[in-house]
Order: sequence, then C-alpha cells, then structure tokens
Amino acid sequence: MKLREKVSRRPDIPTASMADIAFLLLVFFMVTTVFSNEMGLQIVLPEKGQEVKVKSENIQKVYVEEMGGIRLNGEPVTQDAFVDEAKAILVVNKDAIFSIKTHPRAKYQYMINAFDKLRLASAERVSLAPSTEE
Amino acid sequence: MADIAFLLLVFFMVSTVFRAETGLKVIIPQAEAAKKIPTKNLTHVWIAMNGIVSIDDALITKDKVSPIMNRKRQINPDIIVSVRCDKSTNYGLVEDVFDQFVEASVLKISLATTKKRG
Repeated sequence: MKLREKVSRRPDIPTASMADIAFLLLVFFMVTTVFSNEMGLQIVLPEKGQEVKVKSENIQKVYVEEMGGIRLNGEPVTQDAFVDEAKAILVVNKDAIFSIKTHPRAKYQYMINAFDKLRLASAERVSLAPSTEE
Repeated sequence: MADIAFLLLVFFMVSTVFRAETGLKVIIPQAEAAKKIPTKNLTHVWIAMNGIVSIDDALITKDKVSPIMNRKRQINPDIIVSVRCDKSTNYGLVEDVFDQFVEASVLKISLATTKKRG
C-alpha cells in the first residue's frame, strides 16, 4: 500500500479581510471623533475676603441694564460706541479697571455682551461687581 | 493604500476623545472676542435657564455647588471651570453660582461662548 506523502504546509493567517477591518475601524473613529473647539472668555474671580485697594480714578463703572442697555459711568452708551469709549479710556489711563455691574434680572447674554466689548477694546482688567438694581 | 488607512486609523484612535458628560441643553451666548480655551484641567458646569446646575451629569441646586467644587479643587488645584450657561438665564442666578465658586476658592473661570462672526 502506498501512503500518500505528507506535505508539510506552513500555517498562515488569512489577511485578505485585514484592510476591510482597518477601514471599518477608520470610519468608526472618523465619525466619532469630536475635535475640541471650546471657546470662551476667561476671567479670574477675586479671592474670598480679599480686598484690593485701587485708586478710585482708575475704576470705570459699567452698568448692564435689565433690557440690555449699557451705561458707562452713569451715561447710557450704544453697543458700538461702548467699544470706542472703552478704548479712549484706556488710551488716557492704561490702568483703568472696568467693573461690570449687572441688573439681577438682566439676561446672561447682556452681561457677556458688555464683557465681550471690553475684551474687544483690549481691556485686560475687568471685574464683576455684585449685582444691584439701579 | 492599506498603509494610509492604518496611518489614519492610528491618528483617529489616538485623537478621539469620547464625551464623558452630556450636561444640560443650553444655548450658550455669542461673543466676538471669544478665544480657544485649553482643555487641560477643565471641568464643566452647566447652568440652565431655571437655575438648575449640572456638574458631572448630576443635577444639583445652586447651594450644593460649593462643596462639590471644593472637592474638585482639592484633587486638582489648577482647575479651570468652564461655565456653560444658557444665554437667557437671569444674571442674578449666575452670580449666585459664581459666589459658590468663590466660596470654594475655585477662581479661574471660563465663560463658554460661541464665536460670533463680525
């Protein structure tokens, strides 16, 4: 009896579907990736109980009214004029500190508007004063 | 071809960050001067229009913010809080939350906004 000769074959892992799997994973990660693009306005709150003495002439009072109007040192200003006025103040006194006081029922967006305008005017020293009705 | 696919695959695998929090449904305000904020040390606080606050997907009232933030600050002293507040929220409510941050000595705040195109 003649036995069939044993042919030794090297075992191999089929790799034909490798690219399919790679593409599947690729599509999955491409779809689920969320690139962080968080935007925001940064501010540092004052420490509790910390009182900083500042010269009264450096303080510029900004008041945000209930309906979104802005008053600068008591004078009503328009949104566009506010940027220019703030810039003008900073040219005269670069140590000016803007203190934003907001009406408690004013919308958050209104306060952000005023804050945004100050940032546009390159005012670095901005603080949030406790809200009061005026 | 397969090489490029693998390269892209590795890139996306490495850069993917799965969102851990869902937060609250809020419409954040717009600002022209908004800048990109670094995600390092960042923690999110959501404030809804009715004054409900969400931290780590837990809904809490305003007065519970301080103890939670205090704990977070002890774990990471360089913590930055990103406040995602609805644009129609009354400022009085937002201020109460800020007071809680001051109480917990968490002072670095980022007011989350979307970029307003001039």
